[in-house]
Amino acid sequence: MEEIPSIWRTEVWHALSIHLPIVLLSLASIAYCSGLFVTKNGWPQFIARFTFLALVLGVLSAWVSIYLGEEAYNVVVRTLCDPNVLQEHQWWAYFSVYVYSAATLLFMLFQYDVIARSRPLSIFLAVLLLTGFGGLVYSGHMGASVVYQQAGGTYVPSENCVEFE
Amino acid sequence: MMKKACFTTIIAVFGLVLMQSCGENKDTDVVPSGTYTGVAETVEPGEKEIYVRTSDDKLLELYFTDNTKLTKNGETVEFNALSEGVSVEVQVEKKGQKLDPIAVKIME
Repeated sequence: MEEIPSIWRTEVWHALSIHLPIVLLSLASIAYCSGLFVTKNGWPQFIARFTFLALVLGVLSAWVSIYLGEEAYNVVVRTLCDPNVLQEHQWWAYFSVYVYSAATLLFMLFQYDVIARSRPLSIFLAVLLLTGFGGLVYSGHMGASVVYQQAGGTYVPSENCVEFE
Repeated sequence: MMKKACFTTIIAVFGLVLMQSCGENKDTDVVPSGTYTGVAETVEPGEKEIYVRTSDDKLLELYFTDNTKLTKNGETVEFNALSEGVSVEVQVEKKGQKLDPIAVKIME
């Protein structure tokens, strides 16, 4: 009889780890861009701190997930009917995390007064965060396609589900 | 002035790294099942993967499976017998949008 595979196998670690950076980085983009239009009652300071924390934690966890994704790649790529989707997912993931890393660095330089905050640089940072967000959404879309259309990294139970009895 | 130079350098380095390392998307081709000859343009031992440039200028991306038979002079050899630039004859089976290598023969 077939056995149910472990949830802790190599290709699943990426799926388990990826949702934290998606949430943190998405919120960082939304918060920072919203903050450009909010000026009253201490909100700018709160948004700046929130964005900083979300970016730092998001970028660190995103790099961990990229590493786990590379581990999963070797296992999954041979099982897919269209490996190009996985490669596209990988390309946009790297793109997005590099852009977010650059944005985080720039934000840190602002926060620690290494460079003076100016309107053009603030807008440049917003563009970086929106670009990263766009890449993140597209990469997520491709990742979902790998899982839900090609069953990448997933176990397909037998027709009569005997292994669950 | 120093801060500006520092900032510009950091952005430039990130830009370069970004351009260099966004995955490995090559413009590959999917061909009908059959046997093709060409040159192993790229060999990636970590992924047990090769890119073969065929004589009619198609680029085939082949991920070796447990069933892929790799031979040289009629004998079965290990993946590390492959190197970039060697001539190969590959028998592939098209499945969806991927090519499964059934047999890869290293030519002299």
